[in-house]
Amino acid sequence: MVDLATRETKHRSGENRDSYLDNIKETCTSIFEGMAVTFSYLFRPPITTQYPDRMPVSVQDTLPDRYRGHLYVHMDTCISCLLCEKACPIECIKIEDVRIEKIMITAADGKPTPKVKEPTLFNINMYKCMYCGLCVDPCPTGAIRMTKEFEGSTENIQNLHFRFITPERRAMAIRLGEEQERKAAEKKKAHAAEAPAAKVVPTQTVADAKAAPPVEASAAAAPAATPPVPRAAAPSGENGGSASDATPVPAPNPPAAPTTPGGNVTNAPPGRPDEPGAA
Amino acid sequence: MRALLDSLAARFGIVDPSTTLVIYLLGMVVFSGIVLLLFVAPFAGITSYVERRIAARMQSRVGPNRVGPHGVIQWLADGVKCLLKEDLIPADADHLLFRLSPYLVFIGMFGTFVVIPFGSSLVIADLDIGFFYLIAFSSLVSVGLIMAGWASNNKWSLLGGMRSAAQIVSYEIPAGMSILAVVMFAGSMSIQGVIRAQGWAPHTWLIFQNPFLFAAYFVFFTAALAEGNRTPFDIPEAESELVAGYNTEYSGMRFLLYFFAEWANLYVIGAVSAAAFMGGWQVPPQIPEVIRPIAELVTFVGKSLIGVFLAIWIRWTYPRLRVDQMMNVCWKYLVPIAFLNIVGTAVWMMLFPQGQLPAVAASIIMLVIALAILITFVRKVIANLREVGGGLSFNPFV
Repeated sequence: MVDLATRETKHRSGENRDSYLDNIKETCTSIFEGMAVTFSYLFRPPITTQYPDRMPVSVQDTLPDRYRGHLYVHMDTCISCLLCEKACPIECIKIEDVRIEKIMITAADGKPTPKVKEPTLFNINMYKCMYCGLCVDPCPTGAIRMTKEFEGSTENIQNLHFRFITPERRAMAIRLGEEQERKAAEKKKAHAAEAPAAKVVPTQTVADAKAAPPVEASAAAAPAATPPVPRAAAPSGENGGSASDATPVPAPNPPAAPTTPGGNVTNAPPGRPDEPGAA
Repeated sequence: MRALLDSLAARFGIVDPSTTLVIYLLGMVVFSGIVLLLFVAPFAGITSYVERRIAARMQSRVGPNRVGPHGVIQWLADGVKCLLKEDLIPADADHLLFRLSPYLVFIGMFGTFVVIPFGSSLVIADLDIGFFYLIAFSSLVSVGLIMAGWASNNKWSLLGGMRSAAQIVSYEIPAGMSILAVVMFAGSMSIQGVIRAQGWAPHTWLIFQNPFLFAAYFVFFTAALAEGNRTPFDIPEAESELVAGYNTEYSGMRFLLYFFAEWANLYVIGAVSAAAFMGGWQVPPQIPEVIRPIAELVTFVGKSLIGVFLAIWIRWTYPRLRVDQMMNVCWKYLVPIAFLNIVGTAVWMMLFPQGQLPAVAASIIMLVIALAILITFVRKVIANLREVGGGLSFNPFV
């Protein structure tokens, strides 16, 4: 093979009389070499993989740990704090919730976290999502996270509109919310009945309250300290009667709140449909 | 063919000359229909699949493997797809010429099958001027391509058509001249005559008769590739420069006809090089008379398929030539070498008369040299495989 530099020198110095035969020789040898290379490739296994059904391991298993695929929300640990909804730059997350009795859950980092709201709607428009991961960072319990699933092809784009609340779970959450409303209303009535007595002997009330669990005591003693956010009123109807009198709804911290720090999730009422365990 | 029809006519008691002529005509039409439907069409389709698989393996890919087992009916799916597509004709195109040109290309390709044999008696017409007819008729393809380029009313198409005209006209000269050396040596212009001048043993093949015919084979094959618009001479449809060249505006089945012609032309290249240089359908005389036609058919098609594989292999090895490079290759190299081959063959025939000891010895030496080149090639392939390492995969279906 004559390299280009020598050929150029030859050409300049005028001694290219044999370049015609050189070219023929070069053509023959290079064709020979090139065809040997391609022929040898016929006996090599292909380096491409046959996606998706003939892979030795699934592609999802080969992805790095921090791969940003489809979003998944573990509804048992979601406390409906709406931080992900606010973090989303393109507003593809939509959350509605009701207030419930406080339950303690264990967040992804093992920290016990109170759960006072239960989502009744948690939708993610995966076809709008840009996979930035900004919703994952603020989540205090690690409920929302990105999976390694990336196959989004579907015949109907609505299949990419992920609804993490099943209708059963939504019904359950609404029922829980109504229960909470009812309890709050009962407590308010009791509070209202107690109110004149408390005016007469306030120390008595405090002394009585000390016998009760501390959460109720704080709620009863300082109702204004916990700003009432009656979000629960919207889905559960107006039977709570919070609009009839000016007395604010006490903070929903019922004494019966079971706090089991060891368990991941404590389901207060029995018979609650369990979360899909595909964590 | 004629002998077969004669025997048929005699069996039915037809001796009238005018009736016999009609029988000849009908027989040829029927046989050409059989060849077209049962051989050329499936061959073009299957070659498209095989080519894609070979190309994939040469590029370390897998290739089409979805339609049917290992994708073997991919070509049928492609054909059905193209048939069902909309047949678009641009508003400003010349409608008549636009519609006509795919058929001209198709006829130009298929007309060559008239003289291509499949055995000693299996040929549509054994013309005395077989090679001349072949070269002349395949020029119709360039008429079709220019017509397509002009009728499309599109700059890319026109450029592609003009390039194909320049290319085919240029490369017909080295192809024809290489064939001329063969015709001189064999003493016949009929394809069957050239095959009869050779024997079944490799050292009796024309390619090994003398060094000039050996060179003529490669000159012919290169020129034939260029005539068939195959890579590395596919500048009429150079995708990177001309969108798709002359067939830019075509769609559906009209588009497919060009590719049909291209792949069928691949077989023509292989068949002509097999007939002219590699002994054609010659089989050893020990083969019994009963299975002889089948053995001849298998031998000839097998040899042709080697040429087809070679063309596919070259296509996926070399990049496309530039227009000026292509003209350089033709006029500066192939044409002089082709003329040299004619003169050299003539001198050789005078120095070493055929059938005598020196000529036979020369052909055996040529065969040994060719085998040595082949062994060097195999060793190079093995060295390439060793160099890269990794596993070997001899399974064609992965």
